[in-house]
Amino acid sequence: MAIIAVAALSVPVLARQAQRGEPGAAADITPAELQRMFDAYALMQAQEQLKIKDDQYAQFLSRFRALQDVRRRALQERTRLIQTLRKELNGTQPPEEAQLKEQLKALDDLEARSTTDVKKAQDAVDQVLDTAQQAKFRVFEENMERRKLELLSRARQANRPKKPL
Amino acid sequence: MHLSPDALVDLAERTANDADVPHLRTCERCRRQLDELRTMMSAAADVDVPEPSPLFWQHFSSRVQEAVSAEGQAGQTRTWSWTRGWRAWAVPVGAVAALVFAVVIGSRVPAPAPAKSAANRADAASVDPLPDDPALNLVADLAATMNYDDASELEVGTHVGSADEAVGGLSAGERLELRRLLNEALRQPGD
Repeated sequence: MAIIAVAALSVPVLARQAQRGEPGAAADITPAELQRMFDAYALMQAQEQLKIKDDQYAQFLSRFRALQDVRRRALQERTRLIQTLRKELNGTQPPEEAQLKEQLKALDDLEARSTTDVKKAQDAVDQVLDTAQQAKFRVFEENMERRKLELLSRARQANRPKKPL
Repeated sequence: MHLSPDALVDLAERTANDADVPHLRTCERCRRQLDELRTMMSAAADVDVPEPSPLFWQHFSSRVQEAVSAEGQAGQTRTWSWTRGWRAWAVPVGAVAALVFAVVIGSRVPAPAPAKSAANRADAASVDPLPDDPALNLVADLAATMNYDDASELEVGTHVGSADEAVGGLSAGERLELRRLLNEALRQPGD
């Protein structure tokens, strides 16, 4: 019951947070705000679909968020490394092989490190869940990603110019 | 009478003082809800959001371009024409490309660039912009009309994080629309 109440309460909170400043002004909506809304949506859906109990909720919340954070940090770092590589490869001078090797190693290291970190975070989530919930969580994450992409797709389509018939 | 959701939100956001709400002192349930709400808000505020890779759609476009080019070359050696055979390959190609195209590519397909030299083409580091390929336009159109259920039925795969990457590529109007859709979704717990 408490979970449902908190989930319900998250809606007005997020709505307020997302619409602070000039309400409705597109320029105010940052990707970070949309990510927070995605996170709240995912949490709400996870509670419902995994049937998280009261005594699981607090731990699940923090560990689920940790898992999301680990993934995002890895993505952020990877993006930074790829951008560095891109600059070097597209520069006026040919890149030095030693430098490229160093950056490739950094990418490999990051991949290995983030795989381990994500696995640890995933294990931490699993510890809170029973076996059936763990299984549901795997399916849930895949479905949630598709649902997010669907919302993105709808947002894009709504802004596409109408084709003449 | 327990605290209303609005009252709890005001307390959680510190726009109202706990001391001004006597009910909190006597109601364990409301105190617990308030604590949980504050925990959630604190966790949400700490999210570290990365900037999405500007190369994301370029890399994807590049891979699609290669696939379409390969398809085109194969089509030239066959007896059936591209226009006769498109239905045979459009479904699987469209299925795989649809979801991501709908999100990432759409109207953002870059304009054709001046031809590069052979030496430049051989450079694995460079990412060639997409030509204005009719086959690619067809896939883009398929993507625009394929919905989530179609993609799910066809078991189109996704990876966790692809939506995060795509959010940064949205225009201001698209972000506004996405926020509206998310607000709508957040109001429907059973969605």
